Formats: sequence, C-alpha cells, structure tokens
Amino acid sequence: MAESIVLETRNLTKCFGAVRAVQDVSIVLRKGEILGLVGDNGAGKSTLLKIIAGILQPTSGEIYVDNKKVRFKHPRDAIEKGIYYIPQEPSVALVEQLNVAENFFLNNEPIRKIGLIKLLNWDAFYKETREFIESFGLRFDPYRKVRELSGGERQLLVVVRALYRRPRILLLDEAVSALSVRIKEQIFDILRKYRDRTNASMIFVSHILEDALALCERIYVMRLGKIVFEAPTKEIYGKEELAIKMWRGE
Amino acid sequence: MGFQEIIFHDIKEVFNIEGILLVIANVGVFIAFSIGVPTFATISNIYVIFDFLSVLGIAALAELTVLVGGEIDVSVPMQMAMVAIVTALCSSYKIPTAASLIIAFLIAVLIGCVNGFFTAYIQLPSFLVTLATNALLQGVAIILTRYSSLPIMDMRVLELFYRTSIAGLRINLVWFIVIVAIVAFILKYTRFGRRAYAIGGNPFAPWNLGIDIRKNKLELFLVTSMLSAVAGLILGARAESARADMATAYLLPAIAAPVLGGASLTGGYGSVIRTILAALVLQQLTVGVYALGVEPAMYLVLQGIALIIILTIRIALQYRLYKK
Repeated sequence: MAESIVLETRNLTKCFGAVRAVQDVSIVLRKGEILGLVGDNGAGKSTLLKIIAGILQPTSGEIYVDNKKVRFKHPRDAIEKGIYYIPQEPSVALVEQLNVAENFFLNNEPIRKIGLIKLLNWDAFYKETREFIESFGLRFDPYRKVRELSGGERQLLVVVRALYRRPRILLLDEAVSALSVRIKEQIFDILRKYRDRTNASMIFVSHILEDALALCERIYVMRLGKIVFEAPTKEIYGKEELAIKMWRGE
Repeated sequence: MGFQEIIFHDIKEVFNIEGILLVIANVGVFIAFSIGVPTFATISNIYVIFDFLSVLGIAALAELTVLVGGEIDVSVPMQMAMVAIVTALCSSYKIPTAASLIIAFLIAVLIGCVNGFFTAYIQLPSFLVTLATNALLQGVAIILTRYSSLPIMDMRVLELFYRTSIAGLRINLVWFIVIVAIVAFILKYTRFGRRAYAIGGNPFAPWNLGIDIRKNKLELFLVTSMLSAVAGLILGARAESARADMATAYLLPAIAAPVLGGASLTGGYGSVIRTILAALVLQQLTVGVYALGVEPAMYLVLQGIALIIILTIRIALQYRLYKK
C-alpha cells in the first residue's frame, strides 16, 4: 500500500517542567489507516495525541498535515484541518446540563436565516440528530439530558458526534478503555464502517494491546516518551510477547 | 417530530418542579398578603408591584446572563448606580440626551469589558474581579456625588425610561417586556446563548470543539452591563435623581432570583421565565412587607428566611432526582 501520508510528526518533544513526556517522536499516518499507539500509563501517548489535536503545545518539533507544516494553537485550528479528538472520559467532551441534540450540534448549530437574523433551527437539531444516530443502528432520544445517559451511551454519542463532522483524521485517546466489551465492539464497528466509507485516518491510543490489535492495521509502542517498536498488526500476531517486552522496556 | 413536539418539551423544561413551585409560591404569597393587607389585591397595588419588578427583573436577567456562563457579577447594582449618576451629571451640563445616553452606555461597556477581560482572559475568579470593580465604582460614585443625590434634569431621559406610557403601559414596563423577550430570545435562539450554557456547564467540551470560550465569556459580561445600564436608567428616571447607594438593595435579590429560578452558581443552568417568576415572588414580599406597615428592615429578615427555605427545598428535590 503506497497510500499518501496525511499526518506526520517530526521530532516532537513535550516537557512538563523537568519531565520529558514526549521525546523526539516521529510518526506517520497514512490515508485510510487506523494506527495504534500503545504503551503503559505515563508513556506519553495521550500527550502526543493532545499535541496533534492542538490541546497542548509542543516544546519542540513539527507537525505536517498533507506535507504542509502546521502549528495548532487552539483545538479550533486542528478542527479546521478536519482533525477531531475524542477523550477517554465522555464527561470532558459532553455538557451534562444540555440534551443529546444540543451536545450533538455543539459548535456546529443548525441555523435558519430570517432576513439578517440568524436563528437556531431547533427542528433540525432534533431531526438530524435522530436520523444520523439511527443511521448507525443506534437509538437515542435527542431530548434526553446527557446526565441521564450511561457511560457507554455517552461515549457512543461522542464518537457519533465526531463522525457527523466528517473528520479526515480521528484521534481516539483511550476512547474505549473504560467500556464494556459489547459497547467496545459497537464502537469499533462504527469506526471501521466510517473508515471504509470515507477513507479517513485514525490514531487509536490505548494501554490495552488486544484492543489495538483488534482495530488497528499498524502499531507503535511507546515507552517513557519514546517510540520503541513499530510493526504492522499482522506481523505482531504470534509475536505479542516481543511487543510486550518492548512495552515493559525489557 | 415537529413544532408542537419541541414546544411541548420547552414548556416541560421551563415548568419543571422548580417552575411549578415558583408559580405556587407566587400565588401563595399573593393570597397571604391579600388576607393580611386589604389593599394588597387591588389593581393599583399590582401595578406598583410590576412597576418595581421592572427594575429588579432586568437586574436579575443581567445576573442570569453571567450565571448561565458559570460566572457571577456582584457589581451589577453599582453599575446601575453609575449609569444613573453619569446621566444626572450629563443633564446638569446640559449635554444632549442622545449624547448622554451614549456616554452612559459606553461606561457600561467599559465596565463590562473590564469584568469580562479579567475573568475570561486573565482567568481570575469573577467573584473577586467584580467585587473589586464594585469597590472601584462605589468610590468613584461617592466622589462624583459627594454623598448626596444628583437630580436628573433631562426631561427626555425621564420620559424615555419612566414618564410616558405606550398603549396604557408605563414605558418602564414596556422596557421590561422587551428585555425579557430579548434575553429569552438570545439564550434560546442564538448560538451565543446556547454556547453560554455549554461554557458554564463544562468549559472543556466547547473548548475541545473549537469554541473561543474566552470571547464568549467577555460578551456575556457585556450583555450583563448593558442590561444593568437599562435597569439603572429606569431606577434613576423613577427617582428623578441618582445617588451612590441607590441600587445597593438590589444585589441580593438580583442574584437570588436567577438562583431560585434554577440557575446554578457553577453555571450551565438558568431560565428567563423562572427567573422572572422568582423575582416576582421577591418583589411581592417587599411590597407586602411595606404594606403591612411593619419595620421595613423586616423585609431583609423575610428575604433571608425565604431564600434559605426555597434553596433547601431545591436541594431536597435534587437529591430525590438523583436517587431515582
């Protein structure tokens, strides 16, 4: 597969005081690829992802999107390039006080123009939320408050909401690590369908190797801020022990 | 799906348990005072209640706007006084009405910018920032008025905010109705308004999705200051004068009304209609206590008791809600 590279980091480093959370990390993400980034807690996976999403600023190093150097100072800059970030905790991504439809359309609110006045189109809020969520075979009452949803339902909502915005690159930061097997499968299924339909790329961060093996085509292992191992998933099968050794730094 | 379904959900949301309780409280307080005071249930007295409500209601909406965004503005009463004082000073220098109103609103904008800038961009707690601007404004107001009251001599200002009627309604009530409609519209039908709830509810969520939450917060403080300015002008026009301490008594009820109406001090909640209903309860209490002829300070005692009782009921209801 000689697919084009959509995202590349070159020598990314991030220091928190004396701690070097990410050191000299260079990775590439190809078009239509689901890339795994695994490692122990504190390996720097999430920090790396947050830098790509514009949530954190790198201490040094560069990011290239479509071979063009970019500098994200705000998540908004990443979103403009079609990069969406999904955190582990849906409580970070959703506003509990608002209902499903309002969360679904946050910063993307449907508008109806009457003369010069731009009004929110509440009809579209509820109708489109319901239709889009149902297109994935899920059922959500768009009027329900998010605080009434279960953890799994919330994460499904976060994932589906991100997909509605047609991301070119989806960043999943431990997005399924806290979920049951059933919801996990459901989310993997949705992600694969979306990738097959749109040829979007994804980076899947997890501290659970099995999850990454189940979803991703290529895997990087991180340890203490550095990439220590890289291989296509099919080559790792049967050699899981090696990956785990690298993971532990043995 | 359709219009009716949405309206149905909106009504259900406004008249939740709190909304229903506020309606009951209004009716209860009205009946209680009508029994205690024979003149309470008269058209003229009801007119008085709404006359006062026009100021408290607008001040409460000013406070609601920042509360929804998770902030608080304790300088609202001083902003009201400041705008009235500036208008009075302008009138004494015979500055044309339009110019003096522009100056007054520019000062409101300036105060809103200071409050909003230090809260949103420097990320200081809004309680402390507005406490500081409150002290600053109080000092300036005292210097400008020298502890006395300044007459507002510009007839057109008085007419514009109190002394005329439109279709039988005194103009301050027209202002009140228009402002209730505008704030309700902004909070429900504009992106800015809905995002205010999101920012107050969980700032990380809108930030992660690319919303400039600092700008939105600054704008919320601006709206608050503009509303405070209108409330201050009505208050000044009714008294035909301005003093440094003219609005001090509005601080507690202006914050209490949105909170009783379901707003949370941590943001994300708040309803225009319930805020007005709560303001009406508080306003009935004031007028009723005065009508009873007891010590006016009793109003403060009653207000304190009423607040604690109603807030306790609210917390109890919330516990039940979460237990279910």
